[in-house]
Amino acid sequence: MPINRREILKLVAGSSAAALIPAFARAQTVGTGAGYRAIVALFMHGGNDSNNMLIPNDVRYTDYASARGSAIAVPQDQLLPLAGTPMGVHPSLSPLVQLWNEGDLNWVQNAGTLLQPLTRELYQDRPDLRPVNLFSHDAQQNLWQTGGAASELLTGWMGRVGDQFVDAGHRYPSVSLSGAQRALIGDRNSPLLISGSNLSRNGYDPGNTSNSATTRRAALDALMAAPQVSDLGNLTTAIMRNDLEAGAVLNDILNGDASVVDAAFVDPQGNPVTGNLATSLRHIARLIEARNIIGSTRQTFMAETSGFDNHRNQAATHAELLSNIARCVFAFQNTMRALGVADDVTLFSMSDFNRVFRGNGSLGSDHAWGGHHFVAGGSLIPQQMLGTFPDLTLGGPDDIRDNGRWIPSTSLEEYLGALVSWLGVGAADMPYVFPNWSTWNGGGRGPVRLFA
Amino acid sequence: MKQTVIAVSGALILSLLPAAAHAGDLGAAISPAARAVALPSGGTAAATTYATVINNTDRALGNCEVSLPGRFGDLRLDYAWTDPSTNALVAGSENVPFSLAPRASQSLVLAITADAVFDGVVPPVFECADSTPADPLYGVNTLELVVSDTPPVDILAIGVALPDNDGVIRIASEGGTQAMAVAAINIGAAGNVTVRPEGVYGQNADLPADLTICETAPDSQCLAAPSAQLILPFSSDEVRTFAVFARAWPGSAIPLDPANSRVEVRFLVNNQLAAAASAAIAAPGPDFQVSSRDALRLAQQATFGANQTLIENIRRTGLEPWIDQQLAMTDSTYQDLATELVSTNFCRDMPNQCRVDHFTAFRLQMRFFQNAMSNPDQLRQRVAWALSQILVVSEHEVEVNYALARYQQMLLENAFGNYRDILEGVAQSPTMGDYLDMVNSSASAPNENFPRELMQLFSLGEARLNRDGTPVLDGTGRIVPAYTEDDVLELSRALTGWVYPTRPNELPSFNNPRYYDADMSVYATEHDSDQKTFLGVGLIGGQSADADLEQVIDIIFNHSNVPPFVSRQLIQHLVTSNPSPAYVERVAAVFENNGQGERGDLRAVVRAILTDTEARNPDPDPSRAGKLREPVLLLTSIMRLVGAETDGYAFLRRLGGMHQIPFEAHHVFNFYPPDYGLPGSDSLVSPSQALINMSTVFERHNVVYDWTYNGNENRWDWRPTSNFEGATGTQVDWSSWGRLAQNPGLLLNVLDEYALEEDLTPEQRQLIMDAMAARTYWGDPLEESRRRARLAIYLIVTSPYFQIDH
Repeated sequence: MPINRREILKLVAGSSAAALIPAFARAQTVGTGAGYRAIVALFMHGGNDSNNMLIPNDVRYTDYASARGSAIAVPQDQLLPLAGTPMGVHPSLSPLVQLWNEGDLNWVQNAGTLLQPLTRELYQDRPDLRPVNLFSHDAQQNLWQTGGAASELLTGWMGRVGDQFVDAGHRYPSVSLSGAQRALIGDRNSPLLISGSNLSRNGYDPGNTSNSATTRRAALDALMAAPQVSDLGNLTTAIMRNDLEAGAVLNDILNGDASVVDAAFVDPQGNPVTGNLATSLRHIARLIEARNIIGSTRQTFMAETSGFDNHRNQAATHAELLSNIARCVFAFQNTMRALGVADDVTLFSMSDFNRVFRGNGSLGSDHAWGGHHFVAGGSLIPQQMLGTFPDLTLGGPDDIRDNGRWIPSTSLEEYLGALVSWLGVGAADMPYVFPNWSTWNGGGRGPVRLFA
Repeated sequence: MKQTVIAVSGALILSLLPAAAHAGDLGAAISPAARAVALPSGGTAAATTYATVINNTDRALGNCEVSLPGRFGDLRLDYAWTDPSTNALVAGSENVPFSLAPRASQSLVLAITADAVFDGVVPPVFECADSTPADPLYGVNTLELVVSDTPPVDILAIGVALPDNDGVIRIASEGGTQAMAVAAINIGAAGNVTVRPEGVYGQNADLPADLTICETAPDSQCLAAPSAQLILPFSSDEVRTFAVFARAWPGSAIPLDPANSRVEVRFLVNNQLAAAASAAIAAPGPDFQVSSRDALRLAQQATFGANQTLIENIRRTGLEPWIDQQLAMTDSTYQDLATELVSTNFCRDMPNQCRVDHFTAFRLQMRFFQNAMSNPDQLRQRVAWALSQILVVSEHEVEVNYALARYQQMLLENAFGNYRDILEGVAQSPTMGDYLDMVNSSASAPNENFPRELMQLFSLGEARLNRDGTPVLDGTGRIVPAYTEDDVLELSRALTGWVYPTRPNELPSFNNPRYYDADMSVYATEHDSDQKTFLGVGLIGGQSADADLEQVIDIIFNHSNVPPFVSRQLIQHLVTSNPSPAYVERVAAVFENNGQGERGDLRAVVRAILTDTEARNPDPDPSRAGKLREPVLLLTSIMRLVGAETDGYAFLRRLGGMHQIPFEAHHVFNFYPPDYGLPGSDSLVSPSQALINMSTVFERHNVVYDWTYNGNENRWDWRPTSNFEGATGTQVDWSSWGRLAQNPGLLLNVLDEYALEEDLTPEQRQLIMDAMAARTYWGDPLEESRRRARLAIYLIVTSPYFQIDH
């Protein structure tokens, strides 16, 4: 469908909570499809160096070490082997190794934005077949979020998934814990956008019945409810009032006292996992826990974490980022198990792009293209290493030039499409979600086999 | 106790009573209003002062008494009647309740006894059997009492003398001077005393008068030239006399408002208030030409926020003359930041502070807020801020402080310049070149990023427009695109061959290091010099990169879309989100021709926007009026209203939660798009509504709550940062608001006048006053008033009335 570039308007908030209160009040499951399913995107903002997440642990290690250089290469004796594969992972990822061993984690190798399958020759001869603005943060984040390789898409693939579910009667299919995200812009669905965990008003506790508190609330409420002089004023005030009322309900879900989530959100050693990403994932877990209160049956969640644009002195910083990611993912999966929904929820990674294989002169790495991703959940076919790992030869068949920017072998449609199908979007609706779907479905191409 | 020397006539004390104190059943005034006494070892100390109580009702009141609030358990108050003409004690009247005939008054002497040290404000309660107590008014019927165990200097200000003897310094003419005489005696130990006149004026603004003081001889002549303050050795039992001169500022009226416009003579010992005497002040000024509502409306459109000083300035100057003054101002600059040239590896092996200073927008942002809070060239800054949200660059791609500063300086300098110069400046800016990839765009692979946005966002928009900003429709009712993909390609070819500015003695190349201190350089070999066709105009082959750029900027600038496209967005940023097509067309016509044949003259365009009937109409069409205050303007307008002193850091700490940190937009589409549809309406747009989500609605409330209701000194987000040289943090002096809040109705009048475009309803006023009355504080009554003022301000600025401009 043609999408007007001005649809960017819907990019940001669209928080129209007008319909939210009745949904909370009804507290029932609506829509088609039994039970509950959700996918959770973990977006690593800045371009994750996934070359250093998934590392060949065989003869190819020599190529790896020499091309990356000693400043950023992970020493072979520190790699954590992935059972049943010739691959190893970064030593910070041991919680993910545990999930792999338990059959709840898969890898998708060298995925990225593509208009069509490309070879090195095609890439070099046909600039028109390249996705727009490769290696640019903004442009590539947009492509990952809009779900295509063309610049003109301005709704997001999660938003379009939400459109399908809204049409089928599902409630609140799109949720962001990182505020406005292009991925959630849809045509018909109103995403729940939360950008900070506090959904309570300072100094506004309805439980405080002192004279000073009640008179203050009475004045505040009266001014909030007062008729405004313009239509814009009245509509704006109504939205704010609804957000305040609905937020008070969500705040109890997100920040209320007793929850299985808090006890279960721990790393393999049983230590609580904290930080911004942990908070976002913990909030997602609480929203999933409260799915019946909210009335949701099919949901996509977005949580973002940043700091991956390491052009210099990368090694220590990246190790910490990966450690946080792995502990958060483990804690989230552990929580889904505790909630009894591990088979109904799948978490997956996204990022702007991979980084250049050959380290740069500043002990860091620059922007590249195809990269490796992980998927965690209870419904996965155990221990799948999907897609094709690139030939690590600099200037080789998978390199666009001579320093290791890998041409993706799996398109983001093949990667994300597998998740969307599992979530329940029918085959007929996949072209709506991914406009370039026909290129990637049939003729030997198709969603990666994550799920049975 | 030397009561004789503190004789003050009851009539004079009565004149201290501000008009506001006549509101309740009883009014009361005391003099002197400050005492410091010594506490003998194991004994007690007594401080005396005179009081007058007046019956404001038309009925007789009986059984009148004076007492202390229960919390002053360590103090005892005794009172006795006095003869108002002689101040002589009425024998046998100690602690005997008195009666008040209708409209009559009673003069008293009060003695407060302490058996322990004390330092605070004591508010005696004046109450009759059938009356409400007199309102406590700080400085009028409260006593600042110091009881110390070392003999203090105990100055008594023993009265003021004025020509009319009515307690008012009446300046006869605009800009004129009037003197007031003050006498004081030291009945304590000898010591050094600072004597200083200070102005008290409404809320946060300075009294518009210069105050000086001299000591006088018995013949009332000054012993020396008057100065701002005197520091004198004061012997025990010595009486000295002073003259205070008040000269009103030309152009400024001081309305007679005895509670809020006063001159207070303060006697300070060791920097502590030992005594004070005060009088009201009034001066005539020129007649205001503009109503405060109209002035407020203009202030919201043309500045970062209204306050008393600004509103009075606009009212005094007149709307159009004020706009013209603003159009001539040039106070703000980023030029010094823009010239702090650093190489991209400048901070290698340097402390993190180097990165903060040079490779973030931090110092530029701090300057932005300092300028917005304090500099007079408000309109220039507002227009530059609007331009920066139309022609977006961001720290998110270009993190170099001087590069961002140079770009913003270009917008600031051209805010009242010509839009063609801006387009050309933007196209040649290495900051924009870096941001949207025009730099190093080559003939073999022209980059389309900047060329596309140059048309879509910076000049034409997507659809062909009528002069009134509505889209041109084809025969079947469809929108007509303003340009084609081929135009994007051709424009991209025309804009190839530009590289970072070339260093001295170097040749331009793609290897030019990343510097931003000059416009981009031409690298001729990578310019596509073949012929092109752009927007139907041919560019001949063989043209240089410079010539191609000049020609395409001309083609774009002269496109009929530019006047309505740019005018409409500037109107949206300054005045209203949904201007009528007729308003857009009137402004677009000025964009096309400023009257002297010049196209694109922003000075004329901005003037046309602000003087248009649709901007000036105080009752705009409700079906299209309104503009939701964006986070930056919401916070600056609150901080300007309350009179905050800030280095800007507080804004940076809190704006992230509302997703609008200046110069940090997440993409070239700005923080919000100009035609963001207002949910629930099929016709209205509300650009800044795009920043509203559930979390930001709470954050909007919470920042405002924190900075007003909870606006205590040293709160976490007001503290200075260690990352900024000379950081001062943020302070708000609430004391003038506190004085005002002693009369809640008056405070609401002031807030209504300087903050709201409509009158609060009587019901709303009552609810706010009920909340204020319930906000009690067991201590310094002035602190209680400050807290009440902060509560009222909180309620006003969280209200949609304040948050949505009409």
